[in-house]
Amino acid sequence: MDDLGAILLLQGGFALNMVLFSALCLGACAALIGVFFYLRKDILIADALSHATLPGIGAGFLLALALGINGGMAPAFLLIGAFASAVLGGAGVQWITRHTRLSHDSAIASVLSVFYAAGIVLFSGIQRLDNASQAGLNHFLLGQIAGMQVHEAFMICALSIIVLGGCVLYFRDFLLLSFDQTYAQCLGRPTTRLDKIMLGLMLGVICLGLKTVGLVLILALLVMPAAIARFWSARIVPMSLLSVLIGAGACYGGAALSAFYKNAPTGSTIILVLAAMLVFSFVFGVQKGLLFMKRGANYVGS
Amino acid sequence: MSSPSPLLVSDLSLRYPGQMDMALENISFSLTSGSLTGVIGPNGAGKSTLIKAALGLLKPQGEILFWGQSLKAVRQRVAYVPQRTQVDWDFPVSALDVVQMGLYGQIGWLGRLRKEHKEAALSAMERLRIADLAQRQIGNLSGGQQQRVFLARMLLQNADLCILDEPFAGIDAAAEEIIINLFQELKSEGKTILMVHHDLQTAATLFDDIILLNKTLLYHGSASEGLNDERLRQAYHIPAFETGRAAHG
Repeated sequence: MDDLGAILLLQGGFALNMVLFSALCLGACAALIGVFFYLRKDILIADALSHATLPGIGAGFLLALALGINGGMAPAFLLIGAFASAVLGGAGVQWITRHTRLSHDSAIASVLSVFYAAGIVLFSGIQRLDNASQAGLNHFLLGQIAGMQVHEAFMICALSIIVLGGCVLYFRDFLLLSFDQTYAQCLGRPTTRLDKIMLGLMLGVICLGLKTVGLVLILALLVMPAAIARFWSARIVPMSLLSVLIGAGACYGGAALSAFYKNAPTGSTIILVLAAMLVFSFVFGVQKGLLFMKRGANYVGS
Repeated sequence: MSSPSPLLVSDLSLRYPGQMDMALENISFSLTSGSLTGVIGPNGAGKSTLIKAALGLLKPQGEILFWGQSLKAVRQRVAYVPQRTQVDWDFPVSALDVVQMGLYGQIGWLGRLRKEHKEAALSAMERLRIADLAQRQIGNLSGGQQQRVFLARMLLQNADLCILDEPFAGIDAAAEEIIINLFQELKSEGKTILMVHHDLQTAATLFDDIILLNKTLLYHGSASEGLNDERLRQAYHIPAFETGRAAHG
């Protein structure tokens, strides 16, 4: 494909259109669930979870290999491995925060680095194996959208519906949880369960986004659209809608660019698109963008 | 048979995980229905800890009963106003949005906010004279206005027991007057109010009862009789000649 305009206008054939549509769905749901974690100032938990998927992917690969399935490249095994290992990582963060004197951010840093290191060691072992088809495994690090299978696209679409539905149903609870968890508890909301639902939705986005965006950079898909949207809106509902639009648009555009520049990693391309939007909003955004900051403005209470 | 106390605390003790000393030890008291009670004590005395423990936000030892029942059974009748500093005021919600959060417990997770809910929220804000600020982002309010947003949210819950953490901290005189009037109105409606308070000078006139606290309960009873020098010295660990200064800080 040699014309970017044609790619963007869906003239690139079925395979490419499917990829673009999946990217759009992924971007939309990552941006939506990301809003709540952004507002809760707990977005780095996403980084811990995404890095914690790596040993699970390796283990899933080895298990599939041992069972003689497709030389180890069995998507279901990789996905379940990633999910299980991320749940373990998330539980680790929670345990460390509760039972040691380490703070939440130190717990995140510990889990992130330990799981990632374990995953890298496992991966380097896998690279030396014979009779294994480990070639595509490295795409989980930086993302590769070309060669997306129909079933992957289908899963991403299904996930988008779940995340969208979840966020709409639980909108008020997620809002309350992000604004003031203590108060939510006092109102008798089941905060522990809601917390798990919120994390679960984000974990779904992470696991399905891994192969497209890569685990190193998926954090950006969750946080950047929300951060950009906040420069344009001071109300939660318009901000969330805007965040979804930005996430969907950036993923669509980034995926098209990545297809245009042949082997450019998809995740990195998408993030450069988002970064351009962020810089623009940082300067021109009507909500505390540089140009609109009142000189000597006195912000109360922060 | 007399009706049970809105809040009965017996033998409450609490130690924070990883801490050697008890944060609270053997606290017992019961609130009189329709009274305004202040929790007074020096910094670190466990004032906020006490109300958080009573509200089930911490896990203490001892028994806590609301009208003779567990909190779970009567949660809709209890409202909590956290410290103003506890909240991220840059959060993208309007004053009205925050006030309406008071209804989230009643309408559940699938219920919709209807027109009458909005009207109730606005009339609660009107009572605190902040209805004209309904559409403002909460960060663009003064400290006194922010506190009144919290109080409007409490009003909307229409609770019989209101528990507040330092509602007078960092607010202007005008807001203070409005809030004091509100407490008097709530009392005349038969509501019970318990609040953490830091200003000894206003305590005697503001409250019916006080709870004087410094890890243990030093006094619970009438505010006008209870605030004598001897008790304050004991609570604040200061020699006699310094009590005057302590009363200002």
